[in-house]
Amino acid sequence: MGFTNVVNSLVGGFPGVHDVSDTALADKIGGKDRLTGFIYAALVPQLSLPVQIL
Amino acid sequence: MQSSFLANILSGSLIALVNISVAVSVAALLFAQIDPRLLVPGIAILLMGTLVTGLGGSLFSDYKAVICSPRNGLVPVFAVMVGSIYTSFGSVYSIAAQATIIAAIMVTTMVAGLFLLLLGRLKMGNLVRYIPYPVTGGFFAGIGYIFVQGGLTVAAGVQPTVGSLVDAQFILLAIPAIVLAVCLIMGKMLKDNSLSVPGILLLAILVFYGVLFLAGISQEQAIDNGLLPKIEETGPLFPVFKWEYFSQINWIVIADQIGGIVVVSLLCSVMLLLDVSGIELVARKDLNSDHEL
Repeated sequence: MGFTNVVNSLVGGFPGVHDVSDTALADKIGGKDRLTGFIYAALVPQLSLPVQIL
Repeated sequence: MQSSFLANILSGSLIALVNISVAVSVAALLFAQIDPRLLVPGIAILLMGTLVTGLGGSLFSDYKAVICSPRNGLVPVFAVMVGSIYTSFGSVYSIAAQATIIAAIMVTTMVAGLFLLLLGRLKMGNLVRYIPYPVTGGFFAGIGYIFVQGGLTVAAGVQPTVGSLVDAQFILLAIPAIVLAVCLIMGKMLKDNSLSVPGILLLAILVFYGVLFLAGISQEQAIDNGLLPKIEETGPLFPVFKWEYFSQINWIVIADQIGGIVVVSLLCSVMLLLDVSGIELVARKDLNSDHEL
């Protein structure tokens, strides 16, 4: 996570680490693979489009 | 539900939806209260953090389905940092103030990242065992109080005081937020379903716009009445940091924030190690905290 945050800092991101509540939620729904995290990360810019339109 | 392609897509989508809502709320709490013009860059900073940490966690963690995200627990420290920087610019909005705030967050994230790397390299992943429960409990209780107060401030547009209890405008704006908070708590208590939190959030948004529609309130009127955020600047969200900002940064003001930067680094490490312990229970396997750092 240290390396991720170093990269994160270069693009102006807020620091972040593991999130047990979101991980537990994903696990309950059936997210058991890396695909869950990739979908989550990939959808952030897409779903934030309404904010950009505002 | 069995692990499948569809379940992964569904869980990833729901977590993204919840985290975007959280990012916008935290940006409103952290930046919009200082100056509405900081809301757009604030949202961008939170979303970028969500994107990069989410991707990084999935790529590098030992637990395949880990979710990493910006931590709300850091908000109180950043609130002091952002407020202090803004005050040093005379509490007046300027590109220099915005550039310095963004640069301060970038520096803080960089230092926190390097600190986590150092802890991992020094094999100090068991550090969390030495943090007393009263310290952890007190810290989380303090965060809870700040979030209750901050939530009411975001909902009503002013800081809650004893006098707010008889302020009709405050009550009118705060009650929907309090009702939603109670629904979330009740939903979790009565039926701890994985879909309850995202479901209630989605329903609340639909109900909000439904009421606006039925009452004939336009978006502009809702903004004027303090029901929707007023976004002063409508520039693109990304990139967060533009090169023309570089000459505007006041590095001395950022250097003054060294205390906050150190606290964020320590908090990041504590939160990471605590959450990795929790994820071990979810994953039903031991994780190497040094690797996760």
